[in-house]
Amino acid sequence: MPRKRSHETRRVLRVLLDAPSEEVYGLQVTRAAGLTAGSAYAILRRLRDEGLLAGRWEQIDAAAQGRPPRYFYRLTAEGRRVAQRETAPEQSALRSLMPGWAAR
Amino acid sequence: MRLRDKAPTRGYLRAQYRYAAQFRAEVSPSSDLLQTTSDSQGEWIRLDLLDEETKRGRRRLAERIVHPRAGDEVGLRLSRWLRTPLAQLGRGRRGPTSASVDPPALALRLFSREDAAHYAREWGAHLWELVAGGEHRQARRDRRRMALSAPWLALQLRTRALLRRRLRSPR
Repeated sequence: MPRKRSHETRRVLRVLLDAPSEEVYGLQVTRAAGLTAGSAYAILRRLRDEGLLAGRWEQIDAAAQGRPPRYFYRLTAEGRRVAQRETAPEQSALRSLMPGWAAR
Repeated sequence: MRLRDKAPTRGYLRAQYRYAAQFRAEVSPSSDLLQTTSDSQGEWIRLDLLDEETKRGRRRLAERIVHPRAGDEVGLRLSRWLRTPLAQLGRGRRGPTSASVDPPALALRLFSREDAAHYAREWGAHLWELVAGGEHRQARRDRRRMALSAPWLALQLRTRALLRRRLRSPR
């Protein structure tokens, strides 16, 4: 039986599912999900440990760019399946409220 | 009269509920409520869980010295002062009467040094972007939630889930 995930985790999954093929970094997720950094990073770490997210360090010349590299996350195939399953109830609720509404 | 000596009136329980809610919300990884001290060789860590700052200073809710090994989970038992209102809160809720709510222990997970270094670097980039964007207040707030001063001591608290579970289904 799949484990029940917290509301905050579902928000993070929703953000990641909005652009499943794109890579996002922690601050983006924090802002888009409306969570505190402490919660968002803990959730990202847990999802990565579960294999639902893959991560990589940005390859840049920090001195030339004038900023430190970011750590990017993206959904794995399994992560996408789980995210779709976890966010399905709210998708269906939104569809019933707004018949023309469809997730990206 | 100290707050904990009051009879458990509805107002008292509400106040304690607010306290518990605040506690759940604010004890996050590396929260300033969780103070860590270690020796220079990193052979031990003292974990102090502190009360909110009051005029009388900060009260220690739990204290433990641990010898860190990555992946270890460390239990902390909260002081009676916090357990009592939680137990009363449990009794004040619907459902089976609770004779006692177990002390909501904290589970702290110690990260490996490598993992902690990774998160310190990631958080460093996070803070850098906030500061570069002029969000100094947010950066300060987030900084307090981090353990960059001692990155390998990064800790994970499961307090929120534990307390929530206790409050939802008191035994």
